[in-house]
Amino acid sequence: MAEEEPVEKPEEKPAEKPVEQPEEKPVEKPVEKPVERPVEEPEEKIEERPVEKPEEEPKKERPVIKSKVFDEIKEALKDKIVDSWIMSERRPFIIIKGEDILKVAKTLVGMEFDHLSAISGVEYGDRMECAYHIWSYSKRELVTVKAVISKDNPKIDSLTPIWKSADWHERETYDLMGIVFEGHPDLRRILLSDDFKGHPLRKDFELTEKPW
Amino acid sequence: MVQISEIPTGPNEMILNLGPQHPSTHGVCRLVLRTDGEKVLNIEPVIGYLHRGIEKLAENRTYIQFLPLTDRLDYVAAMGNNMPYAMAIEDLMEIEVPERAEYIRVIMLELQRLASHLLFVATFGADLGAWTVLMYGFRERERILDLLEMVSGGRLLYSYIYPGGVRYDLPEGFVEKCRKTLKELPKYFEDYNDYFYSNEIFLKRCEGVGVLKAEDAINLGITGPILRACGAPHDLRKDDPYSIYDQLDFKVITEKEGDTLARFNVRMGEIYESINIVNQALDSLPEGDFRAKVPKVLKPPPGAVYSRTEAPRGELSIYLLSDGESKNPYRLKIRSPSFCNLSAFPFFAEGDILANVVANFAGIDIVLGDVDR
Amino acid sequence: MDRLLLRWARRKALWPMTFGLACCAIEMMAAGASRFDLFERFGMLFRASPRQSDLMIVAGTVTDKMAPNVKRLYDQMPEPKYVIAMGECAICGGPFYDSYSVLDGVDKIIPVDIYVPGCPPRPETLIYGVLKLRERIKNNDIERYK
Repeated sequence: MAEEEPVEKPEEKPAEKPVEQPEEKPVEKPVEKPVERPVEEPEEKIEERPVEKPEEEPKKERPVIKSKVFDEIKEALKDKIVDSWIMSERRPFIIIKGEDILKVAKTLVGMEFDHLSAISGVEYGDRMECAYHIWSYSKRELVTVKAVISKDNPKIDSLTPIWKSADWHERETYDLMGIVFEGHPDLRRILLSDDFKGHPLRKDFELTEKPW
Repeated sequence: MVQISEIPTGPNEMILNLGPQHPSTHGVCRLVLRTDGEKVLNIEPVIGYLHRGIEKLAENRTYIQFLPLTDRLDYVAAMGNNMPYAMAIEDLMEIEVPERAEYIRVIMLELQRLASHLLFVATFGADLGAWTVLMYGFRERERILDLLEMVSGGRLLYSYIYPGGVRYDLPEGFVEKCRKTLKELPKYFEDYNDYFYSNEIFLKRCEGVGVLKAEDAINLGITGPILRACGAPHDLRKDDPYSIYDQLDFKVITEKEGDTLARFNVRMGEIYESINIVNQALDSLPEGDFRAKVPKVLKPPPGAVYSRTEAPRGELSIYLLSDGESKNPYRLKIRSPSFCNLSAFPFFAEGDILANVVANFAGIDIVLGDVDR
Repeated sequence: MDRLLLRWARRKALWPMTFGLACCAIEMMAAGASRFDLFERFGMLFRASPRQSDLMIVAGTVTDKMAPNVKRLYDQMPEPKYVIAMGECAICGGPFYDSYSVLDGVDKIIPVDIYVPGCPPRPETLIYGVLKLRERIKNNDIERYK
């Protein structure tokens, strides 16, 4: 029942809004907004993208919360950052190379970013990325650090010495994505059974409908 | 986290398996304990018995088809699971939600928080051996489920909070019935004082069990009522406000001791605060649209967003990545509170006697659908 | 005549081993709680151990990791035993039919007598399912025990 409803739903909705709706806002928005093209030619797109989006544009009536620590972080990590931008008013994204993650994490802990919220692995066409979402209770800011690693041999340093919450997140990322975390005390499968073959969240793992 | 099968067992030690099927009501979680007599030396939770692969299924479903699947994550508090997903899509597509829809969402979320905490009270009592409390907790919860059924049609799983607003408007008579139910509820909670606070067995089993300090809790990634019971007044509704929580007036309930009794007190306090919030929202409910106009087929522009909410069990967040061309999400990662709370469970439950392991496990209030996804 | 007496005794006092795995378990608990009161009214006593029960209600999704345990628990129950598959996930895999780790339908490993549809089924539906099972026992309808 739950499956049939969403399929009928598009026919019942009122007339669809023309696509121009978002473009009625200030014109510079779509040009400067950083785009994430996961599949094709990402390296060239990184250089074309401007670094920062203008922060002084309130597009809703609610007050815009600007990110205060974005400049501090960029200053502290200036030689390691490959690219950085702000997405949707208050969530800074920083891209770094995979080898620098331990030093970046130590710097962030020194800046009072004490809560590691999640670790997610993402697979693109030619690379893999490991995204760390870190929140600071005292500054009330969230920063996302994306570490780029290679796809053939995905390895990255483990962050368990710094945040103990990284333990099970890294085990899950290893289980579902296949990224190996060096220095993890106990890296083995957590959600799937031990004799499962393959890593399901990779794009070449196809879901097949089982025959009746 | 150690693997218990790799530790050599001493002469008096025993490996005990609190297997996947057990009379406690939390679901299929397996705890491997290494005990020396009555004292527990190591605990290792083994999970994955309910792993359904929801994150992979997201890449094979359209955005709207995936919404009922998010209900099945934390199935005890289902409204709270739709919220970060709807917020993520709205952030990506820059949809502005009308104000009436925001108020309706907050009313539903707080009613769901009430129902979830009532289920915690019922199962907490059942785990400690008080079967009367199970019946009474479910009786109060049925009243709240009546209200939610009036609005959405379902008792347990709703799919009511849609990207752009809510799915249907409030029916007639909802506001009066809601106010009437919330006025009658606190009378029943006075009975709970007799079952819990003047019951010596309950107090002895909960006081001083599983003490946790605030700095350790933050490093371990614990969020939600467990963190607030350790003395750290962190609540995502106040720290990182979403929806209209910044216009409502409520307290963040905090306790200092950090043991199981403090966690129980925090949740009881949150029940009263939820009643307060719903009354405020009902008083200032505006007229207007209940849903913004969204296209029939959702195709967000390429981008990434991380949206966080405060579910009844902790921080529930969704990291959504879309490439602008396909109708399915590119990658969806769900950060669920029970997964992180359970990973920290051995740190404060080891070294205690066997009966306290059960009390601790009941006190952290996990739901296996959230842990395994 | 004694067969009639045996069937009367079996259907009037079914003791379930509730095998609550996922969301349907909450609806089963709600069916057994104050408002619907499934268990006490029909002579059903909730037993935790498989050795002392004769009805198994499989409520929730059965995954590949859990399937051997389900089979083992079913084998531990003494004869005669009955199985109710509650909810879509236990009948056919439910909304997760094409997932890599979900067993579609518990009837691939154990024989099922009654299927209760719904996602999750309302407590009234579960009560109706139990009454149907009692009727099937009364009419000597179950293949294994003819």
